[in-house]
Amino acid sequence: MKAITKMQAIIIAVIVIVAVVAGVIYLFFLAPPKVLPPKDKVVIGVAHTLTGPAAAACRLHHAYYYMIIEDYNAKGGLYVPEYGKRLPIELKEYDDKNSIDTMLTLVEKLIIEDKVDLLFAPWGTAFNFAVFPLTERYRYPLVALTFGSEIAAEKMRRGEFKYAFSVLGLPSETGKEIADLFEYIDKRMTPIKRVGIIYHSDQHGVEYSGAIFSHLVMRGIEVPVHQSYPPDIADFTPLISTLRAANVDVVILCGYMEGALFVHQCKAQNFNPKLIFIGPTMEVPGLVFGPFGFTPKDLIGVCYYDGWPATAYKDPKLKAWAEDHKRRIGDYPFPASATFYAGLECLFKAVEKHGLDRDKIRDALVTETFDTIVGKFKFRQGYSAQCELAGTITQWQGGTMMEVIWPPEAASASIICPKPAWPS
Amino acid sequence: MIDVIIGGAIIGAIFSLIALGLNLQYGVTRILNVAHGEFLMLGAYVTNIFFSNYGMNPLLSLILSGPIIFIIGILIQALIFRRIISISRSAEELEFRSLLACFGLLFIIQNMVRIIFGPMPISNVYLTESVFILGERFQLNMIVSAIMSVALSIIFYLVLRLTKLGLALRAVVEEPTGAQLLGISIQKMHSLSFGLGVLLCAISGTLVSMIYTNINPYIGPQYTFIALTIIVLGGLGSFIGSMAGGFIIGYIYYLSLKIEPLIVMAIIYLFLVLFLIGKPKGLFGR
Repeated sequence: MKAITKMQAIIIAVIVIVAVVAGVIYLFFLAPPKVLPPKDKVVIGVAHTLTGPAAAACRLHHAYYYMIIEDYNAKGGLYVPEYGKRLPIELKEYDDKNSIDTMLTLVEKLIIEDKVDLLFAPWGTAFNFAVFPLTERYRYPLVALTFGSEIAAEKMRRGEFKYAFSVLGLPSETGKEIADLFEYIDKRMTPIKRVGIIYHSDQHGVEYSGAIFSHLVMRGIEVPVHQSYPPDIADFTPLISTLRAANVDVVILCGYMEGALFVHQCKAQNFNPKLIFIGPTMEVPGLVFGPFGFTPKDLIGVCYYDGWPATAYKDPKLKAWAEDHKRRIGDYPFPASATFYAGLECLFKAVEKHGLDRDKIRDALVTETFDTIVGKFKFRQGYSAQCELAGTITQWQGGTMMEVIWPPEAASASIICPKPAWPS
Repeated sequence: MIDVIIGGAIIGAIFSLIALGLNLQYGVTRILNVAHGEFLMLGAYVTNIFFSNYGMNPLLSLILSGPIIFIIGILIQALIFRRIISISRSAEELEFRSLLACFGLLFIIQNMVRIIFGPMPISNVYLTESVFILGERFQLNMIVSAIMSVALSIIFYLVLRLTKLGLALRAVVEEPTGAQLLGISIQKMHSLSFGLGVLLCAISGTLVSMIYTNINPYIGPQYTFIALTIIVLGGLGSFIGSMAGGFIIGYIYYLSLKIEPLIVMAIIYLFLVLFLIGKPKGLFGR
């Protein structure tokens, strides 16, 4: 093969250099600017439970979806930097009928057919656990409000659920906080040596009761009753007899609405342990003073364990928010209300800073700290979110909202223990 | 021991009343009303209108809610089941068609209540104080509900046994053609039995809502399952069977809660299966 001459090499080099320079000039100076598709709104999709037995709880916990959209739309919408203006937010909402299969189909429809810009999370631990692989595949950041699972958290920590963010605490964190609280009470207030745990037989009940059980046993606290019950239990009297016979100092019920029946029956049976802990729904003022039929006096000393991070509404800014909440929703907030709102605020603030590029939103949620109604707020993947005005355990103390009693540095009131006798 | 005897009886009495209405409807009309629990739920909601808006005592409100629910029952029978009964050529065909209609009714009632009242739970919590019986404490609302359930069942039994109306209803159950020849209007008896069945179920809804705090549009099926279990155990169409079945299931339920709460329903169904192997037609079935 004949070698090229020096002149030919120079000509080729010149041609290459000219081509590269021409390309660079075209790209940076002559090429038409990248045209964004026209956009007149930001569409957020959600498939959650609007009908079925869990619809009431979903409506309570997801009220903040509507609230934050209303708040942003009142100021013109969500600022989207790539468009340089605020765009109104539209919520595209489907009913999953309390079925995980239906929810998954609908979320995929929201992503593929409706091409929504962002997603809100479904309701409940099991539903969020099921949707994470899907949102991971389509790279949609998801702020899960009603979620607490150790198994999923481990996957978050291992990087398998990179787009999932959790607001509430994990069962192990709750277990540790409860054990810390009991140790504190045992040393400084009144002995707590024996605890009874009963739980609703679902993922929440199993994971929370298991974690609390392990932490208590590790601290040398006896757990003579660790018993599940069916979801549609009609009478707690036999379980109350078992707890009474076991002479427990504290009872923890990891369940939902049936907790109200349990408290009514404890009162009727005059079974009055030093503390009673009840799971989700017994912390909601609109339920406990409405259909559950309690007065503030009835509940003094009843605690809520899953309010992680529970917010102290005595802070002046949050007090004003709580009043606004009452005006708009009809009831005072529950311990995690403001935290739920703050979690969604982080998502919106990430969009306002980085636009609708979902990878950038995800990176912002991982790395940045946001200013929210509960102060500085930061997600920690695989752990509970960190926020400034947070506690972990709340207690009814005769008011219309719960007080944060633990940890001491976040407490809005002192612990009441032992709880007073049931009012007649 | 006392708590088991009385606690089981309380649950049993309430279960019996829930099952009684279903058994009456099936016995007279051969309609297996799988929307039975929905009428229980409806009863609780109608009571709640008077309880939460006017502060009316749930038991007193039965004076108003009872006739409303009874009329709803009669209307549903006239609008849906009368036609099904007239076009069905055999008892089997009637059972099949009415079963499908009842499934439809179940979803219609559920969704209508959901649309009108929303998904939030309601309750008519009343008489939550405790009373002592033989040294054991019980919730007053449970005791009152149990006493009312037994009283209503006895009244209903006496009506069936001692009145002309009861005689006519029993005649339709046992010999419909003969009853017709004697001038008894089968159509009227069907309407009446369906309306009464719905009424009994709705009354049990009021009683249940005095105790439980989570009445929502979707609670119906769990009560339908309990009622079905009781009438199968007691014998389809048998009044005494409903009563006995209710108390047996009530005791099994209470004892299971004491021994292993998680498998209450499994224990009940295991008992039912074993019992039916020995006595396929139930306790008082013919």
